[in-house]
Amino acid sequence: MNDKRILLIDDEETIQEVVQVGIEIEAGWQVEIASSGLQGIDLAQTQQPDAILLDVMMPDMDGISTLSRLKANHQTKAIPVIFLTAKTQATDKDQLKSLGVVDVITKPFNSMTLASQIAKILGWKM
Amino acid sequence: MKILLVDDDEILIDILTRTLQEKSYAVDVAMDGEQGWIYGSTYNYDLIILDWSLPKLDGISLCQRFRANDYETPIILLTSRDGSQNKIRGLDAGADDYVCKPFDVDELTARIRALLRRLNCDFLPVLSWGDLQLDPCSYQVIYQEQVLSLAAKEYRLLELFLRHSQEVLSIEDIIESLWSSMEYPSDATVRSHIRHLRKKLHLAGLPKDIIITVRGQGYYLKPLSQNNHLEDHTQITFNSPEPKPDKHAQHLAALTSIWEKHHPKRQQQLAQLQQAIASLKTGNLEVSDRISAIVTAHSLAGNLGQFGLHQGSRLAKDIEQLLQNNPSQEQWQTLHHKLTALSQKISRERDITPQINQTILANSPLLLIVGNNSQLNSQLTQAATDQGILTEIITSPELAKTWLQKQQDSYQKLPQTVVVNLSFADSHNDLRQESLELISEFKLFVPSIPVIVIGDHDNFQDRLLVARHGGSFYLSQPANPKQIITLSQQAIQRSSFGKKIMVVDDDIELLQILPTLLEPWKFKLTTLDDPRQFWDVLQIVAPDLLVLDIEMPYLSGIELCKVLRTHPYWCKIPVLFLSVYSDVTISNQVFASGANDLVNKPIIPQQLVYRILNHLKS
Repeated sequence: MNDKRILLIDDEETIQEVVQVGIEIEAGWQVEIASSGLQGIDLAQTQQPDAILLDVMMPDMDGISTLSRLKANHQTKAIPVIFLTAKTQATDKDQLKSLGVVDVITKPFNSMTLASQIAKILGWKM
Repeated sequence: MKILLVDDDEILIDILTRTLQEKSYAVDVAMDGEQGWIYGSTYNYDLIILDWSLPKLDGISLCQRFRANDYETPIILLTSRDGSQNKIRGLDAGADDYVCKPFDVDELTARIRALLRRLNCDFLPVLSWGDLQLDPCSYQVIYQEQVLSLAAKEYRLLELFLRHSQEVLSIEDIIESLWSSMEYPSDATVRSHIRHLRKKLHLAGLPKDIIITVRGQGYYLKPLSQNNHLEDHTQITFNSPEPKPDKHAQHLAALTSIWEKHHPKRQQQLAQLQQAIASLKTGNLEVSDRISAIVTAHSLAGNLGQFGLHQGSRLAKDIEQLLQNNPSQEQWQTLHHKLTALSQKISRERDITPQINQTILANSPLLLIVGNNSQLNSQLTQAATDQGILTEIITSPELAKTWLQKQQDSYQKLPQTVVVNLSFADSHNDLRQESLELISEFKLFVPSIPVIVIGDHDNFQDRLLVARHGGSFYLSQPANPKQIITLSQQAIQRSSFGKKIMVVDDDIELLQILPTLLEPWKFKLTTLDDPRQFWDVLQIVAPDLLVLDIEMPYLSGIELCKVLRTHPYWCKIPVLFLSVYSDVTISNQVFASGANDLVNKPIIPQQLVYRILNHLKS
């Protein structure tokens, strides 16, 4: 099951690298990186990843606007999206989930178990 | 030991500061409640003394604020309000103790000592390491009946090492504990104090390396029971070839290099925040600069948290919040304090690897190693770390018992598996007995903790003795560390923790009590009372084992089991049946449908669990 491709949309270079290292070493999945919402939508359309990790707080276009565009586009609406967000309260998490993402992963996350967390959320086998 | 004193009475501050400093505590003073909050939420203290009446924010509210923000530092409340109602108010606000003014300074220091002892789970007033004794009441250090003359900082260093005898203390930890926040000693100063302390202890007759240096990490007090074996182990060289970097080591190296690569960026971010604070001080902070400083602080907070620097992350978050609330010109000082503390935290993390390792292994299984064979211990630790398993080394069964008790009392992590070194040589009779008792203790846990015994003999009598005491595996020396770790992994995997059990039964009462009955084993339990939903729930839950009732409305357990066995994936899942019948015909039908086991109702929880565990093992 090493053929999964994940698209990460996050403007933080450090987080991009940590996610890439965590997922590639632990699960062997490929990670594509987009540094902004617009670039993310573009890559989601052309690359058709198996899942998208989307940061909520980004400059210019934030995660919530990016999500609504992804869901409005017939080419990307079926791709499961997981929000990445700084530690929030349970109510915030529920609010975010109600926007149409499969789940929310809070930062800081454990890069060693990130891939298995994603696999569990999406019902993938590792 | 570092204390924060929050009081506005200058005379009292003067008396208390002097007394506490004489007693070798580092003291920070805050003159009002808000300042107390800034200090308390910025620096680490071992204890906080709060006056009830304070300007800006009273002691009770400050105490509540600390507790609401998860600060667990012990708090003593000082007040002139006597009476039990006030005491109750104080204690309800989260204070640990309550002292009425006017008070006797000696009584206050005794209460401080008592609270700190409680904090350290150390009920003996005298701290000791073999014949070396430190008495916090008389401030005397005695070794084999001679009184040692130590300078104040050396005394406090020794006290710190004795109180944290099983931890590696970084230079940062030492500075935070021994110096007040207004002092900025260099690393060299700390090293010089350690050098002096070592020298004085050595002159008194203690081993030269009583305080051991761990390059890049810090210092720790040599474990006591290794002392006698000192000479044997100092010359040991490890001949094993360099281990191949595995997933865990690769991961760790990659994260470390990401941290190092972004060092210049962090420095730039700190400089940017400093610039913003300087502008605030002069009243020239533009809105656009404030907004970009907020973004910078937010980014720092996120990145530091990601690398396990939680205190640093918290400071960056505080700065972010302060900036978001459009700070007044006067608030530059608060921001400046926070930023200085933040810069110090970052600059002291030169070697981030241990910190990252701890962070990524936080949820990993814990292996407890009991024994004083330091070569085997370090080989085991290496092999365990390579597999992403955390280790705790304890050199004697007696210390292991104390540790275990402490972990339980403070709700800390218990080991998932244990390795015990056992000697059957005649001269080690007492030690052997203690080790066997320890093994029995692990057996008593619910669920029991598997113990791998490494013995120096291999005969039936020894194996029998270990088995009688509840040992799970017995290996004889020389044992291969990798083999031991593989065995530990098997033991961990066999444990019930997180195994998914799905129970289908129309007996609602049983479904309601099952979670409580099975709680100690930490299974993930899914219960279902309507067999018509069986297939859908099965696909979602993907259980490791199924428990089915025989007779249910609409579909019987036997029918469900037959369906399962026709499926390429589910044909292998262990299935246990629950039955009220002891009829042979029915039990034949059950096993013919592909069941693995049949348990009669009313169920005996312990028996059900053992049967579940046995089927999960196979």
